[in-house]
Amino acid sequence: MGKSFKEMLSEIKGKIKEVSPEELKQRLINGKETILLDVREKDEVRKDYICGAELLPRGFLEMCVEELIPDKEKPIVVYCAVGVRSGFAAKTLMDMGYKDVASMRGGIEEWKRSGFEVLRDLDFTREQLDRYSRQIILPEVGEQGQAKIRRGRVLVVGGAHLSSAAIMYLAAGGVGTLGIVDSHPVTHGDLRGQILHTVSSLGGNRAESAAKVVERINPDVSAKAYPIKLGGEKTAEILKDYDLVLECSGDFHTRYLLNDACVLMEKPIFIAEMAQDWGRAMNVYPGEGPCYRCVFPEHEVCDTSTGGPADSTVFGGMMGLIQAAEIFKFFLEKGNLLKGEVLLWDGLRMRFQRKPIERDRRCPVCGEHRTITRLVQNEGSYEAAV
Amino acid sequence: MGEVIQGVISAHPQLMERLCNENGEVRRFINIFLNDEDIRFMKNLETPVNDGDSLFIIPAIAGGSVSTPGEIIRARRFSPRWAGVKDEKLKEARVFILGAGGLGSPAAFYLASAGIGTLGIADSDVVDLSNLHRQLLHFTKDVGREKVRSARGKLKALNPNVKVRTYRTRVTSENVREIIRPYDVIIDGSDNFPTKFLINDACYFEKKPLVLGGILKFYGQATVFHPWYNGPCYRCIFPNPPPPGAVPSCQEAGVIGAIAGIIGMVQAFEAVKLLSGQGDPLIGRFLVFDALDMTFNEFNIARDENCPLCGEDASITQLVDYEQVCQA
Repeated sequence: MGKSFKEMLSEIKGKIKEVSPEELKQRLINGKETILLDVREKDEVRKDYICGAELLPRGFLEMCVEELIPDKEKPIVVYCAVGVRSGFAAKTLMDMGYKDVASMRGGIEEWKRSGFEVLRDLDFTREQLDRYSRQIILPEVGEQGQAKIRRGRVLVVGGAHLSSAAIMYLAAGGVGTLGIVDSHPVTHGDLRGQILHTVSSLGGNRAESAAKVVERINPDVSAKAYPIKLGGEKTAEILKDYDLVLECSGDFHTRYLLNDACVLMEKPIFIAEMAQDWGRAMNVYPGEGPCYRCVFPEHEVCDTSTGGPADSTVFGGMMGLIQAAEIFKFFLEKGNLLKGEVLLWDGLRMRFQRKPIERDRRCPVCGEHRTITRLVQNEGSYEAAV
Repeated sequence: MGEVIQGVISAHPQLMERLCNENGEVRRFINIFLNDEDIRFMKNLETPVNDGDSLFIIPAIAGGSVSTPGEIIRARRFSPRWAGVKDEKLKEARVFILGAGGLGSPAAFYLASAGIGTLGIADSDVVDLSNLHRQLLHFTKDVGREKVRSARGKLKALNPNVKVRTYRTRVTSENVREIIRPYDVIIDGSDNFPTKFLINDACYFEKKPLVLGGILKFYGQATVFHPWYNGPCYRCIFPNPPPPGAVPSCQEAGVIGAIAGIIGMVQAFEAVKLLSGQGDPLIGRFLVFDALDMTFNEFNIARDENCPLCGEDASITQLVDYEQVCQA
């Protein structure tokens, strides 16, 4: 004689640990250690889920959980709609050797009744699911990752050869908001390496030309052109609407200005540089590591003349592309980002190298005695420091 | 070495099928590097391994169908270093790009932008919505159009002076030699093994340098095959395509678009280096890129005297069509 559902339920309830939505909320606030596991079906998750949850329908639990959570010591809280399926799932996880498993009492319904927030960002259209299918299929991405990419807001400074390819891939991959700053017009010589522009955009503003192409590549992306030169308070005004800056201006003044602005506003800045036949990618995470001034307190005098057919004006986009890949990882929260290191590229030898970099205690913007503390009107903070 | 491999397999039994054939031998499309040398050119599985050595197990990547991320391969250097190359030289140059997809898109854009005189592009597909996240030559309005037409439009808009010759056809043993004959450098932007072996063989018979690329998930590979310049060919490294059963599924494993951009740009740069004689091309060097870790590794690859195509007693004397097991 087999057991009824009710018998099974009361049996597992005696064996598993349960937590209330309040307790879970507290655990999530206190530390990131707890893994939150949503075991509902895909169509339920599309409506809403709790921020930070891993999505694994109960039907695939045994098969996939060890890949998703290889460390069996990690604390896990499982939830479903009302707390029944999560109870069975918690029992299964305990049977599989997970040491610290709990089920959330009352499920996501109780969580919502307690007044806690849920995410409703998996509302992709059929067309969008198709467009991003080859990206969503990656375990590091999935629909949740695609939603994170869509929430992403990137300000690209410079609309020329350094950023051309990066802008196109960021747009094609579905980064939700792209701001492009450039005060220059597209000129004929510009078309070398600037795959973003066309002969028909000659004479027009680079930022505006770029924004138009973004729209043609992917209508999901909101593109905003800033056909201006950055400076002082205007910089902060623009930056506040973005999560990070991709610095591709190719201009030292702008680079120091943006470095300072980003350090002061605590926003990450990803920098792409090219000179003749070498490139450099450096990322600044304010407070976490060195800023651009820590590593390059004064700008180098470098030869920007062209060096023949295989020079940087054509292939300058490489460092921007590297940074585009970093930006996807940043939004996805996957992989090892370039932190505490610069990436150097020697195109003629086709060699990539990483070198460690360190914070400088004497740095005027992020060191112990700071002389750059605000952005001033009309002038870059680089001048303000002097 | 044999013991080390056994140890790896017993720790990760799921790798057994991928690494070894039914007789327990290491599959031929898998390469094992001790530090950065191929063990086939040392004592194979008898090669002694010391503490602190690095071992790399590297499968071939086609793009559409391999299940494991790969890494790879340096031989004699090719650096003619012709001095004083001017853009004029590139205007006379002709580059053929196989595929107007993930790798072909950035490669074609950058070659057109660099001022290459003639670009040939072959692709038999039409644009699909699911291509757009990585195939920059195609915009939303191009869905349903022939890829080669869409490609020509974008390239002419960027540089009206570039001659774009399009081939809306599947490249086969029947047509490939004739198609590539007028070109100076061949870029491989294909996503399946049968095509990669076909273009490799055709390039050998036609004495053309081949710039190989492969992308999958967060990983990429690139090298230059030029057996007529003392470099290896694809078959020196991977003598035969993986048998159909060795590949778990034909469903694409997916890729991040920017990784296609990086490898496609490496290919375009390598083509320009070969044409202009500047720099050191990736001949005999296999570049492997892991975007998740942001690491680039380089492995030495050398000509194999026993290569069935370019070796001393070559057994392959004409083009072979392998079964198209995987339509990517």
